[in-house]
Amino acid sequence: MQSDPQTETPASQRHPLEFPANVLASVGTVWIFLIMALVVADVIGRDFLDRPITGVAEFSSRSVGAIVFLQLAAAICSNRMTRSDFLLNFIGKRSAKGVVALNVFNAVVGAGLFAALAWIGWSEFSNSWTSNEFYGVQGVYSVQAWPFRGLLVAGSAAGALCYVMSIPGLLKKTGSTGPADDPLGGGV
Amino acid sequence: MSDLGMGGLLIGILVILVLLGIHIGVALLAVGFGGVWLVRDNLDMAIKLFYMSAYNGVADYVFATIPLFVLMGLLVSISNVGKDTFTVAEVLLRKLQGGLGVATVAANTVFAAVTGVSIASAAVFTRVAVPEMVKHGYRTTFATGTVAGSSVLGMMIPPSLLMIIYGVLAEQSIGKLFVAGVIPGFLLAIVFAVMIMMMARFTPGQVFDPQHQSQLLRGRQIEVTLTGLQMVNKLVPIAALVALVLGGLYGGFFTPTEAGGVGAFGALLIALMRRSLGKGKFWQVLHETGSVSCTILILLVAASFYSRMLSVAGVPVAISELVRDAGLGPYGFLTLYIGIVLLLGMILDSSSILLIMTPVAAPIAASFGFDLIHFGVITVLAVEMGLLTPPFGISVFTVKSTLNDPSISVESIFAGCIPFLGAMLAVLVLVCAFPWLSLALI
Repeated sequence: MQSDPQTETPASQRHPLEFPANVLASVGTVWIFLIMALVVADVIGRDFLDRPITGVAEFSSRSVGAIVFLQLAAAICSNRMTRSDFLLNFIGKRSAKGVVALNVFNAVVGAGLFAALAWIGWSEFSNSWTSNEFYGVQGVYSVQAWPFRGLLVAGSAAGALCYVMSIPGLLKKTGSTGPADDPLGGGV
Repeated sequence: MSDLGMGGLLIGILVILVLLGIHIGVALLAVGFGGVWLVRDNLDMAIKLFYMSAYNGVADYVFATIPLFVLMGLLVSISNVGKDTFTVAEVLLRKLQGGLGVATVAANTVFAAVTGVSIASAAVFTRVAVPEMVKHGYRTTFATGTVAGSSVLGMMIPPSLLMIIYGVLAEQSIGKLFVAGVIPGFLLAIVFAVMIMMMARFTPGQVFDPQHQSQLLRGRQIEVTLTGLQMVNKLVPIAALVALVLGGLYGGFFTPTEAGGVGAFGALLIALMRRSLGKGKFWQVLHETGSVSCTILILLVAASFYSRMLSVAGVPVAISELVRDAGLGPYGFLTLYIGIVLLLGMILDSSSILLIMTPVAAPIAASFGFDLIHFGVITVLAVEMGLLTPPFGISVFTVKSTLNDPSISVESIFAGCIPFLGAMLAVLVLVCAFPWLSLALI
């Protein structure tokens, strides 16, 4: 286990949206635990009590999609989105301004894409809401789809906002490219 | 512009964006969106595919394996299971030449069966094995190299996050990929162990620090000893987990997702019994699980868009025609592919390489008649070598940052990894040449 990077970050370098982003992420975190409990309950129910729980697979599938968007804002705020800093470190030794420019460019592109996704997702969400869309197998297991479509909109909007709000902080500090000493943040 | 020129341009832009430090998920989405828009000259289609990838890209039961296996690995790491495994291996293998090195490999092999992330192994065994080896007169370069080198076993022996990512991208059964990794994984462990013993025998200067060793010979050492019962006690939790996860998968009782859920639950029980979850640590583990899973899953969302774009643009077909016209046979293609993966491994992390390469390479490999499960094992092995190659070798960085000792340079750890890279290359050649090594158990 790595030590929690957030406890070491001084308040001045924190992302302004860190708290709301962490709240969203916490919902996702609890949701993961819930899926684990559901999967285990299903296995036990099926193998020992001959009573499988219908819909665990369908619910878990949809949930993964929702969890990503719940966690997205926190990943952006805490600078844990996977990136290659090989060239950035190289540039950083020569020109701190170049690194700042690239970081801002990154934030702008990210904000643009997730804002677009939120905008595209909004119409799908409102369709789903008005048409009372369901997913699952009719009569066996079905759940309303709008909460999942809604989470996609909320999560990507929050993500876009986090990218935008990170720009002032990026302009202030020069040199550092983010938590390069945080290996778990670098994906697998 | 031809399909090929367009495809080359898009992949080129992607690599440039990634190198410029754009978040890899964002870069994949941007190139996917721009690619569909330009190639089809159809903004509506780009919008539709973007939304489809975002909403459905990871909404599948197999993707639930990712948070579950991450949770299991973190719970196991926090409850000292890795340390216990190493202690037992140390006591059992001490009499061998280079015994502690072999013990590290052995403990990593067992630990790999309960974790899917190489860097988790690297972090755990840096704390456990490096101080112990240094205390017994091993060179730090060798000790750190051994930990970084044997951490790659975490990805070969199931469960393995890279196998899941590959399986998703190449549309292959993740259960089968897991089983296919078993023999190459153990083969790799055996080659590592034999190599360490040979080095200890024939080039002891590489392995031991002569000054420190002569000091050790003069002073009396107090060795850890364990009774049989103590060893059993230390091994029961991990043995039970391995049996549950691998047995369940291999015996067909569990789908990969169920194995992940049951494994995480088992790991939770172990952590509870060992009282490792006090003082907010449980929340820390859960929080970490969420953020690690999210960074991987968002990459997969983005990659599913990128690979849809590639097939819309006809890139895999165009490249495979090019490869054919160039007169490359299947093995020529394979050599070229491995070469590219190894080069990318020097500058990118493992999941990014898979995300960029698999959608292009898997259809070509299939058209050359490769079994895509076999191809997956080759790919993961080649990608894993990138964990140990400079300038960007994430296992090495993990060892360095976990060790937190300024007297040990990153360069010396990279140097310690070189023999392990050689061993991996040898195993890679064997796996390429003998497909049954990966396909025998399926």
